[in-house]
Amino acid sequence: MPATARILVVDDDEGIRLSLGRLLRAKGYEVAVAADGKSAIETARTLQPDFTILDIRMPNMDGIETLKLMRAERPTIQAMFMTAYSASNPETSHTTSRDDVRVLGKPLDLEVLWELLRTSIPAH
Amino acid sequence: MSLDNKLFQDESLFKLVVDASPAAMLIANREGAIVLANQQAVEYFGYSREELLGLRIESLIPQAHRRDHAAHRAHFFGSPTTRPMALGRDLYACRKDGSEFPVDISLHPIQTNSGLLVLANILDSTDRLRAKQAEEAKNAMERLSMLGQVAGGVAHEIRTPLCVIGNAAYFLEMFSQELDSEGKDCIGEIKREVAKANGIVSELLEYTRDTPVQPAQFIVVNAVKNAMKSCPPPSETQLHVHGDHLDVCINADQAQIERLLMNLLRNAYQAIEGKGTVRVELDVEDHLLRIDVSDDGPGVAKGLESRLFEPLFTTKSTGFGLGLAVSRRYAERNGGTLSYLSIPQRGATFRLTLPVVR
Repeated sequence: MPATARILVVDDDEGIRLSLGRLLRAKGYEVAVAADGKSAIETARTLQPDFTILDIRMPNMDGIETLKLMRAERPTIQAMFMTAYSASNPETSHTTSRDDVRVLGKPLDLEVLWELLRTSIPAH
Repeated sequence: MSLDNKLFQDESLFKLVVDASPAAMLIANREGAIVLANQQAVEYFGYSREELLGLRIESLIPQAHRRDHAAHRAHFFGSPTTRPMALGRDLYACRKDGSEFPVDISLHPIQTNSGLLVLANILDSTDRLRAKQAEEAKNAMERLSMLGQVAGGVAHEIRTPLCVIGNAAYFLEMFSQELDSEGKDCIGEIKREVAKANGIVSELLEYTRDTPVQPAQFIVVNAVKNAMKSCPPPSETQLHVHGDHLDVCINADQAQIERLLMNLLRNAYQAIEGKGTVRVELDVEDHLLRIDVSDDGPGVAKGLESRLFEPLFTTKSTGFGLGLAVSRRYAERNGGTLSYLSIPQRGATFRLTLPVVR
């Protein structure tokens, strides 16, 4: 197990990649970003991330398909999805589950994300 | 021409024509007594022709409208012109057995040697109304579906930048010890406005998405508590919960009921502008749970009450005005009702009713 947990952020929006990457680094994680599913899978091969945060709706390959292919090569990878289409009110929990992978609505409730990372990557 | 004239004078032919009409034809005199009825009238109303002749025309009108009709009749004889009856309103007629059916009626004055009469042409409008309702439902579905597509696009295009703004504000906050109090206030403002804008997107999405009901049994006060936790009162608002039946159990979609209650609480806080008292009262009567959410604000202005649950109707400066429309939909999908109670000298009260699990 490496000293720093590695997280791969996959989103077609540059602002999300930049802002989320910056926050995760500030929280002490090692971060890589990918703008689409195909490059995410390639990056995952070299980076070997512990955790990946994927936008569900992306052009060409969606987040769900991307995770499936990633897990085919690396079954232990932990994950979380992001979506802009959640209909729940901002006051309710943003999370639902999808095949045991949590889904957080955008804008992200970051306290929920930190807690999720803490429990999913316990060594860190 | 001569043939036409000859036909025109043939009385037996006229009887045949009148009886062949697909419309019920009734002729009545000034006093409202029927003096002529065709075959279709016999079939529509279930009276024999003999029974119809001499019968007051009011006997064919639903009980609730009989009294007013005499005045309408007098008015018609006062200014007799050919016109449709009650244009723009759905009319009903009453059969001999008391059952009612929708009709379209046109009235024609007929001047005869024995005085002025009125001919009423009556068509059963059941099929027309049914077609109209189907058309309206189809149009509403199409509008909702189109709005849904727009809402999905708006959600993505607005929430993505909101997420970036929120992330950036959070990052600044992590290092806010270097900021003065105004700088910290700025971060608070950014976060609050992101939440507000996101609330608007949620409102739109929630309205356009027809989420299926997932009922399960739960203790209602838990839903009330969750709603209160998700939607806490502003600092100068008192929030009270009363009721002797806090342990009552209902079978409904808990998430939808919680959203509904949150909408009512949020409206109440806004109505009193954050200062005052909001009450949630639970009561059970005849296996029906009642939850009243009331505030001591100014209440809803007369004349606007009937529009409160219309989609896109709002008295506020922000929001789409979909909150109460969605809330009523949740209530009805879960077998209940949501209504506004107008209580004099009091603020607004919204009443949710839901069936209790026996």
